[in-house]
Amino acid sequence: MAKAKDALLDPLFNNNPIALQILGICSALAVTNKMSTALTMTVAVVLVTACSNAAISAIRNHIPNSIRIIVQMTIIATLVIIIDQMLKAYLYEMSKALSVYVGLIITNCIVMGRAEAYAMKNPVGLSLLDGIGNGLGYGAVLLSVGFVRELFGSGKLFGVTILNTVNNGGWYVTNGLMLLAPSAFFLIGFIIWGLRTWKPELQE
Amino acid sequence: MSNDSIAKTFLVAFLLCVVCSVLVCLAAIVRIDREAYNKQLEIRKTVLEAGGYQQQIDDGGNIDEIFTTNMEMKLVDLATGKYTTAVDAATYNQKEAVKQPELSETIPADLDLAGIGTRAKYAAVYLDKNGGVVLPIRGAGMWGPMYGYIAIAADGTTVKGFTFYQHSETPGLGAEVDNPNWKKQWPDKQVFNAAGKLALKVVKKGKYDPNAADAISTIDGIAGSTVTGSKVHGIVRYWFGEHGFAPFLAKFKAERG
Amino acid sequence: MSHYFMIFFNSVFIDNIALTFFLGMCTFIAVSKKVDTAIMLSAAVIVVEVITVPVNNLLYTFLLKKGALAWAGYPNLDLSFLGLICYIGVIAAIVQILEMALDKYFPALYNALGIFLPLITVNCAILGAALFMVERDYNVMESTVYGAGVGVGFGLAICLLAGIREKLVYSDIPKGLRGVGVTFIIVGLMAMSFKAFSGLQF
Repeated sequence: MAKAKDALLDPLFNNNPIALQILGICSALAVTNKMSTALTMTVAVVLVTACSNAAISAIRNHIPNSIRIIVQMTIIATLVIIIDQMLKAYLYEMSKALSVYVGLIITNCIVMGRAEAYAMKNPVGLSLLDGIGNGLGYGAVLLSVGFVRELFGSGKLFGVTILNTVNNGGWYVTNGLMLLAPSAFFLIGFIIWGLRTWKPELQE
Repeated sequence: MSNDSIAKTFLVAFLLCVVCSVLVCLAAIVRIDREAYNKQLEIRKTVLEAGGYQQQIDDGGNIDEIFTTNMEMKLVDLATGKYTTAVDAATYNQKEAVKQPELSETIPADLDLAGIGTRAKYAAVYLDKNGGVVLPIRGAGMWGPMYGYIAIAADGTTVKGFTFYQHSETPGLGAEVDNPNWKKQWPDKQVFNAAGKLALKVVKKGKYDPNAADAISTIDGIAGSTVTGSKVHGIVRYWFGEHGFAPFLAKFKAERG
Repeated sequence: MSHYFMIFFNSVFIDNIALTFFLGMCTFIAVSKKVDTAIMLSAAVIVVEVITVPVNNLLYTFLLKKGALAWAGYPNLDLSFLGLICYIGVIAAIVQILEMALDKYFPALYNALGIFLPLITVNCAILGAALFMVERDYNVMESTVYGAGVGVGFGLAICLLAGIREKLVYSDIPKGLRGVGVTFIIVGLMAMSFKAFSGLQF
């Protein structure tokens, strides 16, 4: 039981894939200028890591070593294509906003990394939890960056006005930097700083 | 059987391929049907928005229903301004036509105010059964192409509504073209002046003078985005010019107004 | 000619794949500690981009695009949903071939580049360039130029970052921020300065 809890919660704080292992930040930043896109991306990544971990773990005793990587890659790519197609079918506007970044989950190091490091050695149940945990750890960073960027960049959260902006006759002058790429780097830097001050054993 | 034997390797690879391809194909089949519908719905929604039916959509109206009761698509030959049946309206795709030499023509450089280089010979316009027409417009924005619709009343000159459905302007600055507060100054502006000359223009933010004689044809620009404002200006100047919809609007006015 | 120059210039400076699109970040942060290694990695990325982007472009134009299989009697077939898996396969295969060819004909170069080549297969900058190429509808020539531009842009960014990080060793940084933390802040500042290029219009 304790092991299951660790598999799920460890990646959230102690071993967060983005903040500490510096994995999978590529797509993490580009979709964070709105909460809605960050949330969709989180759900997509959780689904892919969880399903790929479970699937790879289920057949781990039958995967020949020589084609190990390509088998993992095929399973991950299949899941990503399915999610990409489903987004295009049922959440059309969202899929346009996410553009190529859904497809790039394939090269997201978290997914491959967990498949290789965890799912190949552990039973299905634990691998599933580990996948969900890592997906959520990724999502936690994504959503916190998205929260700051959307709130201060456009005065909204999930598209709902929180701070009434000057352009709409309110008082809040939007921070344009928050909508542009550099702000995401600063925010991730600050998140890492905060996390490492809170847990000094993680410092380099 | 050993995991690393050749037979097992091929077996695993084969089974994996079969399972994965079945899953991917199922997903693709679902998507292909839905995507065509989604694209059509998006166009219908923007056309209705530009045409002044936003309220009905907000009230929970069915987009397809409002569209089919109010709008009718027709193809216009831009050179003559007449309706045409030269190509099949149901399958005509204006965005694709721009890339096909036989369906498009090059815009002379001195007329190309929208910065698009070529335009389709035929334009898909949407006739509003309550009078008026919704025209497709496009042009180069600051970062990439902008696509939108502008609705004109039955008199062939009064703007009824205006909206972009695709652009890549800077978030927070140029992307304010989507701001309803900016778009609401478009309705009731006059495209042509009393003498029939093209008058509609977008000026730099703050240069708008409500007491000027041509205020009725002037749009105030976007705060913090002079470039996007001037691009939008170029787009309207081109599409309402002689190379754009001017011949069509003259005929449309004579017929409906 | 100016058209190709624009694509190149855009992809190096204005749409820099690392600093504007956040692609290839994992390697970008991990391999930017020393200028020498950063230069090696940039060379490998440029070579792989210049080869894979046009190859994927051909694959897309003649097999996957809607109507591309008209010559085989399937004018309405649209296989673009298979794009992702094809591109990643092409990239993996080309990297593998490149590695073998280098090993055989240029052993010195292979020894220098060797460890970076496999890393590149999972570098999102490579797959990202292929996907952007499809999204922007480039032809073969354009995509070659685009591939070169993306590679040079990535190389420029990572070499600059490595230069800064080498100097950073001597600075007194708050404990929690040391290492990756401050690297992100620097990358942010670099991204801001690259934003200044965006005012350029041709």
